[in-house]
Amino acid sequence: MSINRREFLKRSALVAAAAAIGVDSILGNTIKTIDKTGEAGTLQTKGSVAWHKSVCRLCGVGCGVMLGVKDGKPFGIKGDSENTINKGLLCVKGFYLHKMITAKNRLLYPMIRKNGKLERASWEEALNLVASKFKEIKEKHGPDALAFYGSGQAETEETYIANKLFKGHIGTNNVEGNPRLCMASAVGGYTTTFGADEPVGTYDDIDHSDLFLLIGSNTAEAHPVIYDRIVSRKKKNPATKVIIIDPRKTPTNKIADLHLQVIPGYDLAIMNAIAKILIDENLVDEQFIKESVNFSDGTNPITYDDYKKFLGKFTPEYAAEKSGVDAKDIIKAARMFGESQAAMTMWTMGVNQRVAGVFLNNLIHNIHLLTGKLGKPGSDSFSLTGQPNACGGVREGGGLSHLLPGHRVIANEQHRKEIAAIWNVPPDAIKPEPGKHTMAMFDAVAKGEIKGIYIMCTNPAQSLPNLNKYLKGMEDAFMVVAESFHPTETSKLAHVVLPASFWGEKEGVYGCTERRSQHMVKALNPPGEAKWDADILIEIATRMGYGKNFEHYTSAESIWNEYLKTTKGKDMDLTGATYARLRKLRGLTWPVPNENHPGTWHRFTEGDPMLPKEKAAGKRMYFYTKPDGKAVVFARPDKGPEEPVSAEYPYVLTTGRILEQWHTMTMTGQVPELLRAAPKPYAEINPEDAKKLGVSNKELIKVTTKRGSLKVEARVIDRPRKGTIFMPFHWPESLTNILTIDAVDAGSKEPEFKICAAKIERA
Amino acid sequence: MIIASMIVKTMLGKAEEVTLKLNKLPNISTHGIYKEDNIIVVIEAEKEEELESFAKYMSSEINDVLGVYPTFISADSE
Amino acid sequence: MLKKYFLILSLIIGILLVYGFTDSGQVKKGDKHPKVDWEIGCQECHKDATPEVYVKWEASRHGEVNFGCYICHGDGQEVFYKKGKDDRCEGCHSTQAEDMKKTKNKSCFNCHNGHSLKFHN
Repeated sequence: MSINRREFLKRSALVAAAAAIGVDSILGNTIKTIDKTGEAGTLQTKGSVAWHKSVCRLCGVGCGVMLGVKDGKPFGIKGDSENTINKGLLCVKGFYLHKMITAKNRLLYPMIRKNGKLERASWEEALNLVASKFKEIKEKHGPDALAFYGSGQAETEETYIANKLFKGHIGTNNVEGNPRLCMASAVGGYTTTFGADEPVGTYDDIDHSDLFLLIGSNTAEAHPVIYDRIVSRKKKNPATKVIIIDPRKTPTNKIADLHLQVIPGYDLAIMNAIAKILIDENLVDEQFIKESVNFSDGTNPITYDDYKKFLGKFTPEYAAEKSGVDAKDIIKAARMFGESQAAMTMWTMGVNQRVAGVFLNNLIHNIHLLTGKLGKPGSDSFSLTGQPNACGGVREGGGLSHLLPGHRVIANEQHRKEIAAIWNVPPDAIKPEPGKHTMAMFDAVAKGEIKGIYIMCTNPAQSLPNLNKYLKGMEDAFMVVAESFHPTETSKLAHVVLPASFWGEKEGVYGCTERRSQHMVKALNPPGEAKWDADILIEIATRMGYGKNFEHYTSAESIWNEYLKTTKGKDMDLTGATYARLRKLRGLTWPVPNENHPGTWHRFTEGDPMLPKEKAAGKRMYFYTKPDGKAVVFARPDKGPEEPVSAEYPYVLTTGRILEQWHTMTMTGQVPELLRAAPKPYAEINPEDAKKLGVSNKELIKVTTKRGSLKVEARVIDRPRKGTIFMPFHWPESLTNILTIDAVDAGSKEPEFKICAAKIERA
Repeated sequence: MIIASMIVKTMLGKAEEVTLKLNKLPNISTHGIYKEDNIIVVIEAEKEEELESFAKYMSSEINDVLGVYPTFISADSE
Repeated sequence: MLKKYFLILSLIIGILLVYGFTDSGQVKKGDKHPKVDWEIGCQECHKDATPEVYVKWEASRHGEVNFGCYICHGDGQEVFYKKGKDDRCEGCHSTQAEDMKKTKNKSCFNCHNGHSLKFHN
């Protein structure tokens, strides 16, 4: 036998054995070796890569990601091929996560502002300063002079600790997070319609759907892996249709069969018109309506007939006139939706970041309730979440001023008692009134009513609307910023900056769009003196005198286990999602009430472990989070935008995102390849508008709203609807948000980032 | 010429001891310990009898082995 | 005379040293991309500069989801590879990379065209 053949056979033998025990590659694991002389060693130190299972740090899709570590340093990123969400695929941003970990602007040590400048300080000095100043403010001005502003990118464990410290111990409900700026309207829609937050189905419905209605979502750029699943579905089942309702043509249009290019802000009429057509043309599920649907005008219950009368004015012609879309396209969309076997509506910021956000969310749920397209494979009204842990940490963990962990609310006395018991504080320790929502909070900071604020893992000095109103307040207040990168627009203004561990450097759980909680491993040590956010908060708690209730936490797992207690028996029961299971599995979708439960696909129907079987008997769906098990169809008026166009400001300014950048670029802006895709800030202008203004491509233009003015490069492209311009908000050197309006939805308190009035001139 | 690979599963914590013993055998090579107690073993035997004696050795002489799981075998009649 | 020689020599060495170190602000890895207007993105320039390649890419699966040139070729200034490298495919296609190891092929590009991604084309 020649040596080659022998070697080949040996190689094959090794590969087969490795495959049998599920080892990715012989060289790619933490393995021990013992050679013939009996010397023990670790291949890892000899330059091999260890791959760790984790979840992407960026958007709300929740892609499984493998972080490669070599010699204690981040080496590379691979998609996790076993994760059911992305099956190994990634988008361009996730691909470069390892470069973000080692970015040059990582913050390595604490800083305190002395004589107007941020100077390096020790942890002792910084923590003592924060604790003593917070104590002083609380004693002099009361606990509500303090506030916490967290993030949908923080781990659930981190948000849980912050919530417990501020609401349970310091005694203020001024605990907010940036999901207020993106998902609050979706939360409002779900809780008013169904009685509880978050979607009924999961991503698996995509693989069974025949029709996708995408509203206010540029899925191809903002949720690329979900877009890919829709594309795959369409390729597999060519009869699948895609309808888009959006003022802008986007890369998502590549798969669109019908595009209703609406005037921004006037799409509610279309949703009501679609509901009217569904009823008129008998495309509704009368049985389902009888069993599982109530009707309301927002204040009082109404009857089905009242609702039909209400819809009377929303003829296709009326909606067409309001929205600038063809009446026959509205009819076509309604019929496509009604006649499909299974339909999924997906939406994101275009629907949520509106003063009519909650109303529009309700109208989307309406058409699914009327047609019974809910709770069965392929049918769902499925809100796309923006951030990786807005669902898990903030919505489920109760990190907003009116919430408590486990889908509870501050206003409910029983809820407060239950959480106080778990937090080991007196039953009346939690204030009964909700705290200030985000915009009210920063308004109070601007007015000096809130004197101390702790900001964790977010960048409000770039991401708040109508920025100029709030910046000075942030600078004047005692603002503590816990951040992994510096400088950011917010850390630049801070009084104290604390270096926080980044993704890959801390263990914890992220809960994504489809109710899936997934575990992230600690694969690296943080650089410099950076600490885990939860540890930082526990240190502050201890120094403020609350150590007794925080000293028992020995690990991320111990915090998670306490949090699990808050979910027991609730609609979002996570008791079965122990770290032991989460480490092995690719996450679990709640409710998962015990350790043998595999997780839930559809809520409120058979298969949902929390379904009360006797009450639900005979009905396909029973919404047990409503007192009588029925979801609500709301007769909502077609409310328009807060700031419609005028003679002086004739254009609609709408803001948004691009594929290659994430939010305020603190992370993705550190990757040269991602910068290469769009190196400069720009504004998209419709070619007809450009012609009228005499603006050519790449020319500098001045965009002005009532709140500010920006000079930016024009990109003349047939994407935004005529009369609309689109500006991404990513670049810190061109703060789009000085132009946007801070008017909020009355129910959700979410600002209308998507619509304001602007004028355009050549610069 | 027979080339075969297998996974030798040991009692928890005993993998290193067993590996040392296996390394002393002729024609046996070990290729690392995975997931705490799985050893990848490759055997290059000239004759079938050698495989047999290896199997006998595994079952009688070495304690702490929970199982031997063959994963690959090739033989040719050159 | 000797002094003059030394002076000139050290001047030359000095100049060389300065030149040698001035460009080190950039971490240059890989090949050199011709100097261009770095204010625009890759696709924008290459649409006109290399239309055959651009058209192939646009029609491919990567073009469909707007996976830009930089994924395989680097950003151009700090990192640039004239030919896309295999390890950049592995990030999303690790299963296929493992499968390929079982074959005789050493590179994804043995079979796949880098731009159209088509098999043997």
